Parts: sequence; C-alpha cells; structure tokens
Amino acid sequence: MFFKQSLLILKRDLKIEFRNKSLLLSMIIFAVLFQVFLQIVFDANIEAIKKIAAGVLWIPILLSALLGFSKYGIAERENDALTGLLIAPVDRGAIFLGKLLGNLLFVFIVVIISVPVFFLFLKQPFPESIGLLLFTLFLGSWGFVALGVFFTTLAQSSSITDLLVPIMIFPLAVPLFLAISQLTEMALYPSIVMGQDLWVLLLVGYNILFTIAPLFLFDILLEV
Amino acid sequence: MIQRFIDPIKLILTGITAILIGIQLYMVFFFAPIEKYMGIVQKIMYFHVPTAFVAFAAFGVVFGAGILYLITKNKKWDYLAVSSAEIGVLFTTFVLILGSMWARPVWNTWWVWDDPRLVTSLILWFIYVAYLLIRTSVKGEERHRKFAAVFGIIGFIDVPLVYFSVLWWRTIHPKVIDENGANMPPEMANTLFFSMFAFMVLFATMLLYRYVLESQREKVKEIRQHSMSERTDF
Repeated sequence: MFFKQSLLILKRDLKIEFRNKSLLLSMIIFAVLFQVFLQIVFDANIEAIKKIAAGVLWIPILLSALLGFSKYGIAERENDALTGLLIAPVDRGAIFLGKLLGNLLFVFIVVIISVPVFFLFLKQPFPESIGLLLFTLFLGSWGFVALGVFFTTLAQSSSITDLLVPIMIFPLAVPLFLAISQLTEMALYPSIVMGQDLWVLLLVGYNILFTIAPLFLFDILLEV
Repeated sequence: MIQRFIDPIKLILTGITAILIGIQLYMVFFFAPIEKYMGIVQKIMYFHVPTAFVAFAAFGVVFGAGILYLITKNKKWDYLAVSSAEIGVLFTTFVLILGSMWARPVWNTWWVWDDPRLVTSLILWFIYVAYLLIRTSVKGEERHRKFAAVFGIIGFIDVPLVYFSVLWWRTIHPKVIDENGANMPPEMANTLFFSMFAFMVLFATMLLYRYVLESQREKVKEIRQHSMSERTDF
C-alpha cells in the first residue's frame, strides 16, 4: 500500500515533467557544460588531475542535482497543488519516497551522461575498479538527493528557498562528501585503498539515516 | 507568578557572573604560571577551551529543546532553542577566532585541516548559521518553529558523523600536528576548570536574558495581532 502510493506519486510527477522535458534536458546540459568548464579552468596534467579527479567528477553532478531539487515539482506551487496533495489520503512518507525516486531518476540520467563525458575528456585509462565506482555513484547520488528532497520540500515556505537549500544541506552533507570523494579516488586510482570498508560503512549508514528519518518526519512537518 | 521572580534572578545571576569572571581573569593573569614554550600566548587556552564548551553546551540545549518542543508543542521550548542557538553561534565564532590566534604563533599557521576538532567547529558554525537563517526566512508561525526544531536535531546528530569522517579522512594522510599534552601543573588545570565554570555561568546568564527577551517579543506580537483583529471586527 505504502509503496503503491509512492509509485503513484512518482508516476504523477514524471508525467508532469516529461510533458515538457526542459528540466531533465537542462540538468544534463548544465552538468556536461560544467564538466567542460572545470576541465578548462583546472587544465591539469595527468599527475595533477589525480588530486582533483573526484571533485571534477562529482561537482557537476551535485550542482545539477541541486538545481533540479527546487525545480522538480515546481508545478506544485501553482494553484495550491501542494495543499491538494497534502489533503489527499496518501501517507506523507509515501509522498517523500515518491519525490525521492523521481529526483533520483533524473540524477541517475545525469550521471549516466556526465560520467562518460568525464572519462572522455580526462584522457585517463578506464577506471580500475568499475564496481566500486558504480556503487559510489549510486549511493552518493542517493544520499545527496534524499537530503536535498527533504530540505527543499521543507524550505518551500522560505523567502530565500533556492539559497537556503544549499546553505542547509552542504554542511550536513560533509560526511557524505568525504565518503564519496575518498571512495571515488580509490575507484579511479586503486593504489590508495586504505580504509575502504570504513567509508563504505559510513556511506551506507548515512543513506539509511537520511532515507528513513524523513519518512517519519514528513508527517510531523507537513501539516496543512 | 514566575514573572515576579525573573527580575531578581536576573540581577543576582548577573552579579555572580561578574564576580566569577573577575576571579577568572585574576587567576588567568596572576595565578596560572606562564607556559615554558608557548609563553604568554598560551593564556588564550583559558578562554578558548571554555568558549568551546559553552558553544557545544548551547547546541546541546538547541537539540534538547527542539525535541521537547516537538513533543509538547509548547512555544517556551522554542524560545529556549532560538536563544541558545544564537549564543552558540556567537561562541563558536569566538572559538574559531581565538583558535586561529593561538594557532598562528604556536602551529605557525592560522588554520589546519588535519585536526577534526577544528573542521567540526567550522562545520558546526555553518550548520547553526543555517538554523538561524531558517528562523528568519521561513514564513508561517508554527511551521518555522517545527522546521527549525527538526533542523536543530538533525544538525546535532550530524556532528559526530562530521567529526569521525574528518578524523578518518585525515588519518589516511600523515599527521602534521600532535595532540597537545593534557598534563599541566595544577595551577593551570585549576584555572582552566574555574574558567569553564565561570563561562558556563556566563552562558546561563546570557541564555536567561535572551530567553526573557524572546518571550517578551512574542508576547508583544500576540498583543499587537490581537488588537489588530479587534480593530478589523468593526
């Protein structure tokens, strides 16, 4: 029942978003453009790029996801649609899960396009540990999107939503950022594989915390 | 009513704080010996460490008051949370500034990324500045209280995560700075503990003043709204 409800929310949101594909398209274009921009400004040689590769890989994805948060479901603001959604006999947790899945789908599509572009420009051999890289990309995007969707929905009533969201989530996401940058570095250059299990543990724990907690908190926080 | 007792309590507490801080200053500058290697600069410790304790205690109060507010829906807890958060941000700012001032002559740098306590303090500062921004920018009386309470709770839970992730991040790299030795002569230790006590009382005093201010402000707002609604009745 719960999952059926979240799938309904997901279906509804995706239908709205795919009617005008501008959001997904602009997220992809932004990520790729920023990727190119970073490669140009850093203009690093093979040795130096090792230090910044994880950042160059992740920053476009994270910023693109961040820009997507507040625009995804923007139709909710029109005609008081959000109130309608909250009145509907749907579990609030299911609303969160549905929105999370929708945003996540968009970010995954961005990842699928942005990461190959990264390797294309980097003139770098194929990642040594592709499994670890995919794992990190999956859970890293998941954690960031969970955090983002939660706080963006809450910050809708703020007068500075678009600015408040990054100010709120970036400090909270420091453990997540450290975990994904370390794991990405390990996946790209496997010579430094110290403490990999620790970071995997941190990443998984962080994701569980920020996926489960909002499911319950949404109910308290979103009252009509 | 409690209102009658608040003014005398405020006065007494202010007096006690003034005396304690006076004794603390005397102890710091005349009782505690000058450190052999760091010299006079080391006296920053008697302000830096207690300030850090107050900051952390203040965020602990935000956490506790946030939980109590969500359970009881009593606005008083929220007044306590916002008062404590403001003091916490103020003291964290002092911690960072004092720490930098101490680090410059002793570690020969304003800032290091190798010490998880430094990085955690900085992140803590950002988290609670965000908390204050939520309070000023979110519309809706009850909504911004709840939102802030939840953010205060999550922010506090996040602190150990930040601390340990920075610790693991940095232990992979060689460590540049050693822990400061905890063994010090009893005069120094006594001064430090007394400073912590004095600063905690200072925190309590500030918290009481800020709390009373917040509840009075809310009361004025209520009275104004009440009179406005009466006026529109005509």
